[in-house]
Order: sequence, then C-alpha cells, then structure tokens
Amino acid sequence: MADDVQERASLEAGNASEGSAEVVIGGRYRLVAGSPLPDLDLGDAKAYVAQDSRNESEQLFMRICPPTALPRMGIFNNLRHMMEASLLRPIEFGSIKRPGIAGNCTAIVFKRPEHGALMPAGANKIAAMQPDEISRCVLGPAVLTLGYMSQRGLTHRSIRPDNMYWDGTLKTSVMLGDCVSFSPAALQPVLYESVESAMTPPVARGVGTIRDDFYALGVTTLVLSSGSVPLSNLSPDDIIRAKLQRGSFSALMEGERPPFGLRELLRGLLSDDSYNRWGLEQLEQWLGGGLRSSVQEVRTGAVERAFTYNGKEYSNYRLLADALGRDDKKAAKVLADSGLDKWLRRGVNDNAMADRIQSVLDVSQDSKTSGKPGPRHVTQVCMLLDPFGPIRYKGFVAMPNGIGSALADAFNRGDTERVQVIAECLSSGVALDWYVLKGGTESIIYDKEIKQIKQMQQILRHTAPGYGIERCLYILDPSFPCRSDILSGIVVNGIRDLLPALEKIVERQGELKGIADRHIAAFIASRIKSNIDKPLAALEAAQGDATAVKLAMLSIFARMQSSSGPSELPFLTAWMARELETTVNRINSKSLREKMRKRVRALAGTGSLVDLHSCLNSDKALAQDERSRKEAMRSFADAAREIAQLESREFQDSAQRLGWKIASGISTSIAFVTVCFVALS
Amino acid sequence: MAKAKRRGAGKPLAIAIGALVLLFAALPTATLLAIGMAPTLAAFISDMTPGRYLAKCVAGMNFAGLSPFLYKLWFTSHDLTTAIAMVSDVFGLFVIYSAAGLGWLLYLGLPGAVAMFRSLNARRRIHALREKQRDLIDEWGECILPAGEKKNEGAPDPALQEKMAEGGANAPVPASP
Repeated sequence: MADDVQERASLEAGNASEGSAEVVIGGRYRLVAGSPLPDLDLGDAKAYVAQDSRNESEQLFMRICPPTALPRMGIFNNLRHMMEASLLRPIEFGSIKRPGIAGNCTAIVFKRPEHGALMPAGANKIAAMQPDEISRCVLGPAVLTLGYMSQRGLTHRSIRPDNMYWDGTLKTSVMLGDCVSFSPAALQPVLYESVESAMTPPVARGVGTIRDDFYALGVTTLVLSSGSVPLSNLSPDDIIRAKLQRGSFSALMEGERPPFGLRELLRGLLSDDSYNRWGLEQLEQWLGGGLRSSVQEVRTGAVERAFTYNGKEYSNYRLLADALGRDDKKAAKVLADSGLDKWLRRGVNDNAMADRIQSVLDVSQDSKTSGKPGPRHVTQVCMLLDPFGPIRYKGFVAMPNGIGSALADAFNRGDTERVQVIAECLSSGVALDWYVLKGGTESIIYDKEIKQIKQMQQILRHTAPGYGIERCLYILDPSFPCRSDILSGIVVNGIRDLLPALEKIVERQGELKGIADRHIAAFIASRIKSNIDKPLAALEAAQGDATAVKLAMLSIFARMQSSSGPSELPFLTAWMARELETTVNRINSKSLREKMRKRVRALAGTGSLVDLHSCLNSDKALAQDERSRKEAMRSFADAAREIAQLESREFQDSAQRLGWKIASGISTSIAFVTVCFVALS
Repeated sequence: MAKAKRRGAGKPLAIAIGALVLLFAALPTATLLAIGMAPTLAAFISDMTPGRYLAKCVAGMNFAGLSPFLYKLWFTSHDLTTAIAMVSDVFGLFVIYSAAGLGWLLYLGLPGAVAMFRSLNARRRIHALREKQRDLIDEWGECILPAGEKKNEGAPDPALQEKMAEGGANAPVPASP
C-alpha cells in the first residue's frame, strides 16, 4: 500500500514536471508560483504555498528538498495515515525538476500549520514557558505522537523547538514538525542529540530508537522552560566534550537550577545512559503526576587520569574512541605500543578493559598489516571504549542503522572512495563487530540487524549484476530511488514504478539505450518479492551478450509484471519482441521457428511481457525441440544407411542370388507338378 | 569337423551304391535315367555357383521332361528293349532335353528379371529416402548432418547438393547381373 502511494506520486510528479514549468504533485497539488514561505523553510528545503485542485480552501504548503537530501519516503505512508498524531502530516510527494538545480528534487506537500514554530530557526532566545504549560501543550501531545509512532516502529528524530508548531486556534497545543524531508536527524543540532548520535555525522545517524527522540524532547523542554538555547556559544565538538565530561544534564544546565517541577523530568530525559533514560511509560506516569523518582546522572566512560593522544588529554573513554576513530593510522601506532595498555592498567586501573583490548589486538585479523594493528583493530578498540558509539572505520563514522543513509549519501555525491570503505566495512565484518562485541543479550536485541548485516556480507561476496554494494544500497535504504542511467532521469522509488517508467522511455524514444546495468538489477533484486536468482544467474552468464542479457531481463520483467503489473506494456513489449525476435533462431526446427516467430510478432501487440517471456524463454519448448532434433538426426542417419545399402554391390549380388533361388524353386515345382500330373493321368 | 568330413565322404559312396543297386535291380529304369538325365549331369559338372542353382534348375526341368517316359516304362513293360526304344526315340529325347534346356534358360534369365525388378524398387525407395532427407534438412538445417558432412554456415554443401540431385531421375540404378 505504501509502495502504491509512493510510486503513483513519483511517476505522476515526474510526468508533470517534465511537461511544463508548473509543478503539480499527484495530479492535484499545485505549487503556487511566487509564493515562498521562508518561515517554513527547513535547512536547504524551501517552502512554497501549494493548492489542492480538489479542495482549494485547504491550507497547504510544498517543501522542495534539494537533490542531495535523502527523504524518508519509507515512513511516508505511515505518517500520512496517522490522523490522531499531533504531527505535521505529509500528504503527497513527488519528484520534480527545478530550474537551476541539477538532478531531481523531492517535493512534499504538507498541511500548513496554523501558527509558527515554537522558536524561529536560528534564534537563541524565546519567551520562557511555564512548566505546567510545557507539560500540557508540549509534552502531552508529543508523548501521544511518539506513542503512535512507537507502535508502528517509527522514530521522529527531528524534535527541536524550531521544528515544532503551535496548534489550535488558541495555541493550546503543539505539533511535531517535519521528519520526512531529510534522513533521520540530519538537521538536528548536536545539542539535541544524545552523545553517541552527536558524535556521528548527520547523514549517518540512522533511525535510532525512541530513546533518541526522548533525549531531544528533554533538550527541547529545557530550551522552552529556560527560554534560551544552552551551550549556544560552544562548537559542536565542545558541546559533546561538555556532555561527556559533566553529563548531559549538568552540561546543559550550565550551573543553573532546573525550572521548578522539571528537575526529575529533565534528569530522566537527559540521561546519557540510554537504558536508564525515561521512556513512554515514565513520561506518562510523570504527566499523570505519579512519578517523582529521579535518575542518577552517569558520566559514561569517564576516568580519573587522562591519556595523552595526538597532543590532547582524554579522560573519557568515549572521547578517546572518537579521537582514535578520526585517524586510523595514528590510532594504529598508539595501539602498537604499550602506552594505552599501561594507562588502562596503571592509570585507570581498568584491567578488564585492558584485557579486552589486548584480546582484540592479539587476534591477527588484519593479515595485510603482518600482525601490527590495522584499521579493523582500531575500530574494535573504539567499539570497546565506546560500546554505544558509532562504528568508526577508516574515517567512516556511522551508527549501524545509519549505514544505509551514509551509503546513499556517498552514492549521491559520487564518492566512490567512501562507497568502497562502506562496502569494506560491511563485508569484512566490522559492522557486525559492533553487535558482537556487546555480548550475548545485546545480540538478541539486535537480532534483526545482525541478520541484515550478514545478508549484506553474503551479497557483497558476489560481484555479478544484482549483487554487490548496489544491492546493499537498495536494501539498507529501502526508499532510495533507482539510480540507473537507463531511466533517463525518471525517478523510480518502488518496484511497481519501474516498468511504467521503462514503458514511458520506450514510448518517447522508441527504444531503451540499455536494458540492464548494476543499479537496475540491484534495485529489482532488492525490492522484488519473488525469487529471481535464476534470471540473475543468466544475467551473469550472459557476459555482455546483448541478446542473452535481454532474455534474462525479460524473465525478470515478466515476473515483475506478473506480480505487480501493469497488465499492459505495449511499447516495452513491442520493443522487446522486436529486439528478441532473433532468439527464435535458438529453435532448430524450421516450422516451429516460424510458428514461434509469428507468435512473437502477435505477442508484440498484446503488451504482455509475461506471455512474451513464456514464448521466448520456454525451457520446455527448447527441450522438446532438442529431442525432436535428435530424433531427426537418427532418421537422417537411418535413411543414409539404407540408401548406402540399396546402392551397394552386395544388394546387387543378393538380387542375383534371389533370382537363382526363384529359378530353382520354379524348376522344382514344375517337376513336382509334372510328376503328379503324369501319375494321376 | 572330422565327423562332418566323414559324412561328406559317405555321400558319393551312398550315391554309387544306390546307382549300382538300381543298375542291377532296375536296369531299364537306370538306362532311361542315365541317358535322359545327361543334361543334369552336365549342368552339375559345369555349375560353379554357390548352392549349385544351375544344377537344381536343370535337374527339376529335366526330370519333369523325363517323368512321362518313366511312367510309360514302369506301367507298360519294364524291360531293357522298351527302355532302349525310348532313349533312341528322337522325339522323346527332344522332349527330355528341351525341358532340361528350359531349366537352363530359367537359370540364365530369371535372376536378371528379378534384379531388374528389385533395382526398380530400390530406385523408388532411394528416391523416397532422399526426399525424406531433404525434408529433414529443410526442417532442421545442417545441424542434423553427421559431423563429417557439416559445412561452413550458410555455404551450400556441394556433396550434399550432388547427393540430393542424384536422388531424382539420375539416381544410380544397381546393375543387373
């Protein structure tokens, strides 16, 4: 169902945007030219007034995301139907082209909020809200909305005051802002993110968990209650350092007393230990007035004596891990000498950590480095020092569930080096280490993710079309559109969109310039529900043979048409029939070949790739033809043998012998008859 | 093997004993047979064909010609005078030897006729087989030809073409003996 909406919208949008300068999404939502809404801009995404042709009175706006944005289209349909939630609900989306912008932009239509944001974008000060107003207008609706999202396994990841809007005529409530226009937490300032997420580049933060949303809600509550943004004078790195050195709660309070009545709430929501952080249950209890217990602040990873690395002193494991992960070569040198081990054993007296690091270093996994610590060792040591932190591998930093968006971003930017590092990170098992090094219980919690990483490893072992890093991209980022050049700029978000897009290209150009590339094969393989291993193997075996490639793709397309339509693809079918007519020559029998050729020509007009596939790719017909050919060979050989026999000297001799036999038989018979006749007469 | 040899050696002896018995027991019959069956003896001696078909042909017809005279001898007066009168009768001898001659002619003429008939049949059959082969090649192309007869793709096979042509009116006919 979700796919339906996405696909229809994107195709229609694509059509509209190409045809004229007017932007129309879903055939009804029109961008009103010259009507920017700067208050609703979000990052680089510009907002404009939109109009619904079926209901012109409805207040809408359209947000146009830049081509580099990675909109969360996977959650679009869920949010669209979440009527009860206090949320800026997206209504429709599509891909459009904008003048002066290379590539396709995603345009998303939202219902326009009645009032402005709680805090204007970029502002540091607002009028402070009273605690009871916060709990009634902000926390109540936010908890309700997060509850609905949690039920569907979704996270918001964009909770901050400038992305929350007053709701209701009398501003009695707030609604959470847009969370689909960019990848999860991509626009979240470091301040609003938990330490582990803050240490990760915005594009690779991943969907996270609802605990991350509660942390952001905690910071938002603090900002709204104090009327100012804390730590606003610090750089992102300094904010992270401050949070780690003092704990998030203390760092964000900046020595001030928490607003009356919000101490426990803020301590609970701003806990750096995600397992102790308040969740839905605690918040509901608190809102009901039943929870007053306080969460003890934990300075995660803090130690007494500092370790000097790269000229700086680190008295926190997590900060040290962050520093080590930024340059794996320098970090490898540090791991190679005994300084870190001595610091852990003597300075910090943490023999357990020292032993764990030593055991990791003892396993000579990086054979290329001939026993010396390599990039993977650095990654593993970082994981031990900061178990909940991101994966840090050769300068690539990402949360495990943010690898997909990081990979998509790398593909978007054409950063092949980064793509290579991510592929290495997945295939070498580095990503899996993140889960494994946590131990038994964590492995159970992350079972689904572990299975997915293992699946990626399997996929990366194959280099054939339909496998490799491209397929990982489409699996890890299920809403990433197909990047195949064959599509000539048409945006294809879902599998159902692909055949209509190809049909459109053939209709327009009369042909497809190519029919298969790594992206289109990987896109189909990752999105199709049926098993296409056999045609993928045929695609691999084709080895550039254009006809074999087309046959393999016909097989795949037929499955797609069979499972998800459309029922008629006249232009694509006619083109494929024309291109593949020569494949009937695989049939040895002339009459069958002619029959098949006629059938292919007849099928060209039907628009059914399924029928064309069953005609051209029929193993049964080929086997029958082969059997008949062998039978014909036998018949030909038998005839040749008989002819040779009839033409032989032996045959002539045998004729003579037969003549003599007959003559002697006649002679004997005459004698017998004569004797009888004489005797009787 | 030795047993077979002994059997082979015993056959002429048995014939000789039979002839002697016949000579002494029925001299008139023996006389008539000896003179009447002379063409058979001549054919037997000159016959070099495997199976001695010449002798068989001549013997049958020769005996057919002789049989009326044998009956006459046996059922009138079975004496030497009658027998000699019979063998000295020119008409009688003409009849007997003419019958033997017919047997010889049969031996000479029939194999040719049979071969002619069979060659006509063979020609028809070869034509049908060549037609069948042509149809098979039309239907399946060169892929059904034995490995040695396959030519370059698209190039006509001269030997095959020749063969095909031969399959029509110019097909070789087996020579008659």
